[in-house]
This record gives sequence, structure tokens and C-alpha cells, in this order.
Amino acid sequence: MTADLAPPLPATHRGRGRRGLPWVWRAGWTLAAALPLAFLAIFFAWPVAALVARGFGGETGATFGAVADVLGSARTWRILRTTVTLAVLGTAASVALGIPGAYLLYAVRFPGRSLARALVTVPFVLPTVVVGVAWVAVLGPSGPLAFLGWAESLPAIILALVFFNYAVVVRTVGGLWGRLDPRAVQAARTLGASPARAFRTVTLPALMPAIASAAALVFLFCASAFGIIMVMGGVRYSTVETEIWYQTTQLLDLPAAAALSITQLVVVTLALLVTSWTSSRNERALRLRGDASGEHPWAWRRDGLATVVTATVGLAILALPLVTLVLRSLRNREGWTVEHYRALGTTVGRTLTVPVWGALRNSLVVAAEATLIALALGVLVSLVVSRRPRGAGARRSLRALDALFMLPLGVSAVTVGFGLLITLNRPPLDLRQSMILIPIAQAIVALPLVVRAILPVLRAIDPRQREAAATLGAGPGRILRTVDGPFLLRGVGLAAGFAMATSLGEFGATSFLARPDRPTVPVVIFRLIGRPGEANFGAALAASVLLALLTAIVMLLAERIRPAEASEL
Amino acid sequence: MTRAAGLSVRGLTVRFGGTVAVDAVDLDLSPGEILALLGASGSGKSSLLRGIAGLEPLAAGSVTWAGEEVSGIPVHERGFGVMFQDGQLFPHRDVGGNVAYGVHRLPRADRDRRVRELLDLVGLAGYEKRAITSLSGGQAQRVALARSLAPHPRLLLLDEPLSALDRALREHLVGVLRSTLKATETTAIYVTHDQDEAFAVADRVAVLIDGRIARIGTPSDVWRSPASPAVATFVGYAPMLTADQARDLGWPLDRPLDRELVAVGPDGLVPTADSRGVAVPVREQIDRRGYVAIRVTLPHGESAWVKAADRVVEPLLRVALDPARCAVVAAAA
Repeated sequence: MTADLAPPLPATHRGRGRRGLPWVWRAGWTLAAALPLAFLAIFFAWPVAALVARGFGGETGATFGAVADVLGSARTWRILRTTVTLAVLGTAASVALGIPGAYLLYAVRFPGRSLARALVTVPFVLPTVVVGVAWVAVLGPSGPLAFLGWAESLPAIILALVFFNYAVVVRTVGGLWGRLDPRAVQAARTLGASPARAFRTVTLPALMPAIASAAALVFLFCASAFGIIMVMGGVRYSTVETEIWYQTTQLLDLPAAAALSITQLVVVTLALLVTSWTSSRNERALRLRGDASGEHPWAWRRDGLATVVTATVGLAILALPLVTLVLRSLRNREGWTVEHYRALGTTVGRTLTVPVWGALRNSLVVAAEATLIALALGVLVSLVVSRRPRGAGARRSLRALDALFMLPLGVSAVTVGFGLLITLNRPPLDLRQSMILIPIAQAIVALPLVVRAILPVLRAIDPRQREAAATLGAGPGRILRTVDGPFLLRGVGLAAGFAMATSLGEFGATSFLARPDRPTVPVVIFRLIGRPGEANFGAALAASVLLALLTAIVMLLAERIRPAEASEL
Repeated sequence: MTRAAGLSVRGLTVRFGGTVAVDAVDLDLSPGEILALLGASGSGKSSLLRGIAGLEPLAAGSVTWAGEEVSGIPVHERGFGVMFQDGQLFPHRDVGGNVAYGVHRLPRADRDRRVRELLDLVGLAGYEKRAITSLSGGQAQRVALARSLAPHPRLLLLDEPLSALDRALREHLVGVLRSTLKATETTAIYVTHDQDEAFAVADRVAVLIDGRIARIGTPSDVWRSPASPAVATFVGYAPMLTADQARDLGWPLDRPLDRELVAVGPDGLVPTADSRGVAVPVREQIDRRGYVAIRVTLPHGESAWVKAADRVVEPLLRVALDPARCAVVAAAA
């Protein structure tokens, strides 16, 4: 045995704690947690808290006046009723239609499946304003389904909500379905259960955590939908989210808007608690499963119904609006034309302050900045939260930290934008004149998605991999680099895609923060669609196609470097 | 206590909340020695191993190597290697990359030579570029062994390295493991729940029961005098007979038993023709490779197995103890 190759060993007992890391690493991890926390505190908690304070009377001392006024008005209750109705129906429809889709796209093998999966995901990353415009193009005057008379109606909004959230259900439920051990169902069948009974007693209970978690998430998205309602709701349908915008920007009644934000905060926090509870159960269940052993080849007798339902959804709800959007952007009264696209280089008859191309440049710059911020913070948060400390207290803090960074998912973007507007407009931090508030707000909105894309990949690392590396002489730095690093890289691609797509389409917070002379594309589209005239509508369609294309390209690139471990979204 | 040359463990205690997994264990290991830690699941053997490696914090006790206290030294500076039950190979590195992980500071040529040397040693020469996912279970464990040996660990801790493999492969790899550890003069602790594996691989065997070492010695010492009924049962003796029961079954009168028990070994009860034996009822007969296992009920009600060349047709079988294949153990206090 050649002793000269033996690793250098410390000659003396080092002065460090028996169980812990050296202080440098402790400090490092503390900083890694503190940095995102500080960011969240300044740009999220503070604005939201300030908003809450304003709702309770703010400067003149605590009163419940504004909240009581708002809660006392019949208008508020009508809006609340609309919000909850839309969210419940949108969720129910998404889940009911999404479950067959999850089955077909994840538990059944057929040619072209991965393409189908990718296509189904496209709507989820589309900007909400684009979704709204696409449905207006389908149901509005001279649209292919104009005869239904559904323009500015409840069914129309619900269709748009399903369009947007279908992928959430399919991916969340399907991710689990494809990995269910088929032997549990086989055992039930050999015990005399019919296929229906085996599904009801074995498969469905196993899927329940994923279904519940998807439903809670969809409910959250539906309840805080802004762009879709703004574009499609017209004057008849307003939700809490759009009402906050209306009270702030149109009536300038800040206390009323703040009171509405508080109401929404309460509802949404409850939904979020349910989500985090069910998704932690979901994660535990997932760990028990192996590979894609739950898949089987396509067979008409077994999979026919799911195929018909999914194909119908795919064509009538997912493809129709997108195809209509593209076709109508290429038409005017006389026939085929590219004039709408040519108009993108102009201010469209002075409707806009800048040409759409200028807005696109703004959007790209802002999205790049937002992606960088969200990725930097998201990587730090994911690394911290994926540690497995020994102490029960430390583990609890990490769980709390994890939940904390999910909060922006639940707090409406409108609230964030509004909060930033009223807090960061004076010293010590007066950022209103600088463009940086927009990427910051968008990064806050994207942060939960970034963490949800990276964290599962890091959590999938067996902790004994790090132990094995340590016993081979790797210090904390080398473990981080050689064990966590390769996994992190795989998650970061998808996370960057999510962040970029979110930022490109972000409308709620941006509509508050964008300066009139520096709009982003969603802001421009909303302005165009709000003006009468074929030229404006046509330009809105063309700009929507452009934005959708850009988002789809970003997501396609991200999917290419997607890890095998499914993201939670 | 003298300054031992190898590993010295004193009063090592591991707790999980209120449960004591390892209860004040003392252990000494001289350089080059292989010790098997044998215990049922939940006996604390893996916790003891992880405590020595520094992967589990100690509630009390000390671990020293060559007289130097190591419990304050972080895992990666201890020079103690660990081979995990499921290998824990790094999936994003190839075989060579895994083996080289612990010797990355060596110049490239030395590193490559070391990797080649070790893959040779475990019988996987030329596997450097293979992906981890392409390996069979047995190959993966051999790569894991090569990887943990590469940095010349002062002590190698093996945590049930073969228990995920099937029986034939296990028996083959036990031989590979022992010869590899001996060829590299590696000091090792080998944790297992499998008696055959422990006896085959180790210089000494320690039987761990409820977090304490109940018996430690060479394999033949532990086998011949398991010292307590619990150890005897665990290593494969059954049943335990009192002095009276043993005498009824022909225990020689010149070997008096003073409040001791006779532990009947696998061949401790034999069919006999002479008058020393007792006729007992046959309950069950199972064909084994090369013999028939016959379950009988002893006069005092215990079940016992007897090996015979052929099936018996009579309902009764005359059996007697073979003292050379039984162990005498102190009755539990």
C-alpha cells in the first residue's frame, strides 16, 4: 500500500463544534437565506403591509372605516360573488377536463405524446392579456363563434380560465399518474374488482393529493386572474382583482382598494395553506414511486373516452383561440393582409405613445432583468430550503421559508404593484422614476415558479450522495459544486424559462408601474383592445401573436434542457 | 487505556430524540483488521457505523484513531471511507469519474493509474468510461468499493454493502470484498445482518443487540461460545434447553450444567439408534439439497429440526444431542 497517496490529514483536533459546519459556511448559508428574505421584505412584505395599513385608516389611526365601507356596499358583495363563482367554476371545469388529459398524456404511451404534452403546456405560459384577446377574437363580433352570443359572458371567461389552467391539472396529476405502480391496480383486479372499482378504490385515492394540490393552485390562479377579466369581462364582470385596479386608477379611492386587497389576501392565504399542505403530502407520495412503470400502450377500448375528451378540449378550447388569433391577425375587411403587422412599427394612429416594436424592446430588457433577479434569488432560496439540517427547529424554519417564498403566488400581482407604488415613492427608497421597479415586481411574481422548478430537482438528491462525497474527502464547497451543482444546472434552464415567460406576460403589477412613455407589450395590447376601431383591434391581435410566439420560443428552449424530474408546475 | 495503533471507540452513544440507538459502545480495532458488526435490523449497527464516520452526531463518547481524538474533525477530513448499502454512485459521472472522486487532487496520470489499479482489483478493468446507469447491481457495488478505497481511507466503513443483491451474487462478492480489503491492508468495519456474510468476511465478529455489543470475538469463538442465549439465538442456535431437558436428550453426565443452558446448533440434534436418545414425534419433513429436514417436538414441548439422510416413515424418531455441535451458554439473569 502506497502511503504517499494518502490524503493529508489534520494533525490536531480542530476547534469546531462537534455537529456543525465551520463558521464560514454557517455565515454563508445565513447570508444565502437573508438576501432573498431582505428582498422579499422590502419589495413584497413592506408594500403589502403598507397597503393593509392604509386600508385600516393609515395616518389617522386605526379605524375599520374603509374596510367597513367596502364590505358594506352591495357592489363589493356582487364582485366577491362573481370572483368566487368564476374561481369555483373555472377550477371545477379545469379539473374535470384535465383528469382525462392527465391520464392520456402521462399514463398511456402513443406516438407523438411528447409533442402533445408540449402543445398542451403552451397556453399556461401565454400572457393572460393574449389569452383574453384570443378569446375575444373567437367569441366577439365576426369571430367564428360569434353566433353563440357569449362575448363578455360568464361561460366565455370560464372557457378562457380552462384554456389557461388546463396544463396545471394535466401536468400535476399526470406527473403522478405516470409513476403509479400498476401492481396496486392489478392486485385489486385479482381480488375481483372491476376496472371501474379498481379506479375508484385504488387509482383515485392515490391521485387525490395531486388532484387536490392542482385544484388549489388553479383556484388561486382563477381567483386572482386579472388580464383575462380585464380584456373579457367588459363592464358587466369585475372581480376583486380588477376592482382594485379600477378603484386605484380610475376612482383614486386608495382606502377602498386597500380594503379589497386585504379581503383578497385573506381568501388567498387560506387557499395557499391548503395548497402547501396538499403538495407536501403529494411530495411524500411521489417518493414512493419508481420510474414510468405506470404507463401502458394505447388501446381504443380502454382509452377511447379519454382520447375523445382530450381531443375535444385540445381542438375546441386550446387550439381554436390560438388559430383564430393568428388567422384574424392576418385579415381585414377586404381579405388577407399584413397591415396589422406593419402597424406594429407605428403608434397605430396615435393610440400609443410608442410603436409596438419599442414596447417589445422594453419588454425584453425588463424580462431579462427580472429573470436575472428571480434566478439569483430563486437559486439561493432553493439551495437553502433543500438542506436537511438535523435540528427540528432548523427544519421548521426551512419549511416556513419555503412557504414564505410561495406567498407571492397567492398575493395578487395587482396588490404587489399597487403596494410598490405607494411605498417606494418617497425616501429612503424612491424608485418610482426608475424603471427598476417593474423587473423587481415581475421577479417577485416569478420567484415562486422559479423555486418550484429548481427545488424538486435539488430535493431529489439522496442525502447520502452528499455523505458519500464527504466520506471521500469532499468539503462543503466541493459537495455543493459536484453533487448539487449538476442537478441545479438542470433545474435552472426550466426556471429561467418560467421566469422569462412570466415576466414577458406580466400585466397586473406592470400596469401600475409602467410609465406611459415606457410601456411593455401586454400594457400596449390592453391599451389597443380598449380602443374602438378595426386598426386598433388588428394591431392588438398582431401584437398578441408576436408576444405569444416569443413566450412559446422561450418555453421551448427551456423545455429542451428540462430535467427528467418533473417540476411541480 | 493504552495508545492503540488503530481505532478506539469509548462509550459511543447515539440518540434519536428519546430513543437510544447506540448505548455506550466500546470497540478497538487494530490496523488491517476487519470487524463485522452483526445485528438484527434496529439493533443500532448502522447508527454506530455512522457515528464513527461522523455522519451522525454523538450524544456521548469518543472516537480516536492512533490515539488522536477525531470526533471534532468533520467527515471529509477524517479519512474514514464509507461504502453505502446502495452504492450511492454519482449518476452524472462515469465509472472512472466516480472512482477518481476522492483522489481529484492527484496529478492526472497518477489519478488515472489509481483508478485503473482499483478497477482491476475489483474485476472491472476497462470500465472507466461506462455510465453508472449501465451497471448491474453487483457491478455498481464493486465500483462503490473501488471508489471508497481510492483515497486510501485509514478506516473503511461498509454499511450492508451486499444486502441489496441476490444470494448467489452476495456469496460471490463476499469473497471479492474480503480479498480486496486484505490485498489493500484496509482496516474495515463491516455492518451486516447476515450471519454467513459476517463470518465469511471478518477477522472478528461483534454481535450488537439493542445498541450494545453482546459478544465480540473471532468467528469461531463467537460460534463456539456465544455466551448468552440472545447471541446464540441470533447466530443460529435453537432451541435453548435447560439442564434437565438436555440430560433427557442424552447430554453426557460428565459435563454437569450449573444453571446453564444448552444451545442446540444446526446439527446439534441427530437421529440415533442407541439407547441414549429419546423417541420424539415427527411433525413435518422438508426436502433440502442433500438431506431432509425433519421437525420434531421435544419432550418438553419445544420444536427442533433434525437432519436426516432420508425421509422417515415411522411417526416417531429417536434423537439425541451431539455435545460437540451444541454450545453451553449462561442463562439470562
